[in-house]
Amino acid sequence: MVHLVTSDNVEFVVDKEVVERSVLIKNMLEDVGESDQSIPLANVSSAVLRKVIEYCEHHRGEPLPSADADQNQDETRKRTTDISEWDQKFITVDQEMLFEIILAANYLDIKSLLDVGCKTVANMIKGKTPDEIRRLFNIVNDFTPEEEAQIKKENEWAEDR
Amino acid sequence: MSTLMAVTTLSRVFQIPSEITEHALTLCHPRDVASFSQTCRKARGLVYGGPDQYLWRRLFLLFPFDDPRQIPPPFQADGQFNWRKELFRRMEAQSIACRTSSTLEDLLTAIETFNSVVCSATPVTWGHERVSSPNLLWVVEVLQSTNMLRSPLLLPEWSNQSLARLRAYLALTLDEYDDDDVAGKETLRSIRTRSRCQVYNLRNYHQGNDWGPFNTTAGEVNWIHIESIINVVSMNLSDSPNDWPDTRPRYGLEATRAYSAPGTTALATGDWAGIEGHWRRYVCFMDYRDLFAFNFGSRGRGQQDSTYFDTPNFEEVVRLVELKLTLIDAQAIPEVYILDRFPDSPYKHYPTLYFTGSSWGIQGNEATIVGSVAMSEGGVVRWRFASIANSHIQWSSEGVQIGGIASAFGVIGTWTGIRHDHADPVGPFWLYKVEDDHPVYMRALMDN
Amino acid sequence: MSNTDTSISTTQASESIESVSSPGVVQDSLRDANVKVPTQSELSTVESKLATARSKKDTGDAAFKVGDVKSALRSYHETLLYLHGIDKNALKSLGMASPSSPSSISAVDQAAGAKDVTTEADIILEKVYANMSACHVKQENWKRAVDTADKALSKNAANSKALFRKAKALGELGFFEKAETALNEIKKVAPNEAPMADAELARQKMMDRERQKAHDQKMRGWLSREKKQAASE
Repeated sequence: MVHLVTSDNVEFVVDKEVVERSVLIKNMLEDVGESDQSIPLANVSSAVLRKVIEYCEHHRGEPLPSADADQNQDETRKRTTDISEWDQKFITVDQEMLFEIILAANYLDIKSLLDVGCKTVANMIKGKTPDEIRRLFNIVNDFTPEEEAQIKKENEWAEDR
Repeated sequence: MSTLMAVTTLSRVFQIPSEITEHALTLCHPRDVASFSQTCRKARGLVYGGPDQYLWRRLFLLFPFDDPRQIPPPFQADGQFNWRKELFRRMEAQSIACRTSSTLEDLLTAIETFNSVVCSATPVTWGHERVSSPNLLWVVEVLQSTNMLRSPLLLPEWSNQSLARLRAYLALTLDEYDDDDVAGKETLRSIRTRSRCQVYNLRNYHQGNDWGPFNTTAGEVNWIHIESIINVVSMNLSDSPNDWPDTRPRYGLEATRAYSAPGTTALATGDWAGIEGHWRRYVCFMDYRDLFAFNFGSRGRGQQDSTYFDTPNFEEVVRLVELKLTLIDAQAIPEVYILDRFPDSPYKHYPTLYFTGSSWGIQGNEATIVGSVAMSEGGVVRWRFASIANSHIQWSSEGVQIGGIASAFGVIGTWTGIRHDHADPVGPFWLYKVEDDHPVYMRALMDN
Repeated sequence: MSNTDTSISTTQASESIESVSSPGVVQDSLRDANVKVPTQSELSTVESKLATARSKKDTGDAAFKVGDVKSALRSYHETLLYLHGIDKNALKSLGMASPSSPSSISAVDQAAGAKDVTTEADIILEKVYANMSACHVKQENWKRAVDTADKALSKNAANSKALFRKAKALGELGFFEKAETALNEIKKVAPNEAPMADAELARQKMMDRERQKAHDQKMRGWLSREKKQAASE
């Protein structure tokens, strides 16, 4: 069992096999071996870690993507934002939590979870107008009218019909 | 939500590292990325201000399109590939195809883009013969879903080089109509008439274009002529579905890819064009008297009267020829071969090749074929050969390989009498490579 | 959509803008409304994380010096746990990166430059990874030695120590061409370390020859076996 301590000082005791979906922790355990000493996760809160562990529990035992094959395969893989049913349900959270999960997945180096997060963001953007995207993410339009005209021109290639 | 609220709340999108936002954007359609870039300065900076083209390269490759870096050196675009610019160009072409308000100029711009996308399909590689090219799938998908080529601005009677080139690559694959589609049948009929007028007009053959499918500008392919030949031969073949039914050329976009011809993904050194092996050739011609009547007028008709082909007793002949070709040294060319030699190739990896072989035509008649293949300017593979029977050179042929090197589509061209005399006939041909165990008809006749 | 938490921190954010900028800059900061301006409490969290990271690294260095590689690795890993995921924007605001005040740069320039900005966190990361690579070399854990050296090099491609460790580990793994590239790179970025690089190159060439010899020996054996079989048929 591995002991983890979150930024808000909550201790989690997790199966090694589960926690090793995080490449960050996996590397550490491989380098220094298991011990009762807890691992400080200074950038993850307990609420987020609970979610992340739920994800790792569900996907325990699945093969991890190998670091080498990564780059090349990514370049040629077809663009897809399909998410499995379980993951879809898992990632149906408020925006605050979604971005926290993305940050945690990036921090802990859990590629598949980061992918689910990014696909979700991509799906949120899909088919929306700039105005709709601003409303979606609370983005402030800080362009001057001249800039706006220029930007419209810049993006004419994408105009449909 | 009040405006004040919006101004004072910081977006979460910009609180995650920009690499992650970029990664999420690579999963979007380029159009969505464009929308995102228009939301605010920071978003625009992220999309357009990046120090490298990481985002655009990913968007391009994941779209997906073929990786232009996999195209062999002499035909690769010069210098750094501009992923963003090329992606824009393609998206613009798609928009033009979708719009109903596009002008003729717009349509031609889009057509040129589609041609270049077809030409930048990656070569077929050994072990991946059945993997389709994303470039080609995209072109077909866009053309099919938008029906752009049936725009009223692009009349079937009208043509220009770019449009003809695209139509040549497609080879009527987008013009299949149901039997009860009267308008469709009419379109085909008018395409056929236009094509026959082009192919059988003797004025289209002269020294200036090597008596072949070229423009008078040295060596430039005349795509209108090429398209016409493809139309004439393929419509003749579809008129006679029972003749040699298992012997048909492959056509359509996938067949234009380099090394898509059978057995050419692992070519022997020295045979870059995939010449050695078995070939089939369809040759068409008009009755001699018809050809002259059409060209010089008769029975009250004017010259090149297109209604000539509409008379019920008009007939065109299709003949199948089987060939087996082998490479020979330039020095080994027999003296009887008097055709001009191709100039030296500008690409040193693709020297001009010479070949000889046997051909078996109707009733098993055997002739000798001698010729050569050259890589000419712009990566166009040209074929020139003569047929020799009873130690007399009879016919000369000029052709162009459609698409990349060793394409399954094969060679489209024309044949004429060797002397190019005033009274010599001309006709179109379609030459393509087949597997070694392809069914034989002509050769079998001779063997019996 | 926003909860109470965010609105509180936003109030703090607007206060902190006011406290650092002169009146004339107000409009600029409004126009850069989407550029993250960290709150005071965020800044202090970052500072304390950095402080913890520094002290963990020192502990690791001390353990490495006395030969306790395992403890060193543990401390280095903990350093990483504190450093990863630190808000880059916050670091910039702490004046650890860009010399000019953020409000004077346009959002476009900032976004474009974001990847190139070197922060204190990056500098510590580079050193920690290079040291971790040394630990792995010592333990003959070649693959991880290469991985960590690469991480150090991604922060600073001219880190000659990381290059050397990477080259050594690659050589041990049998990737001689790649090792040679890394060693040649050392000669470019640190000419005074060229003799060391050359010595390693020579050592690896020897090693390569030995391996080739052993391999040839094996192949010969295999070939002659084939022959015998053919003869017995």
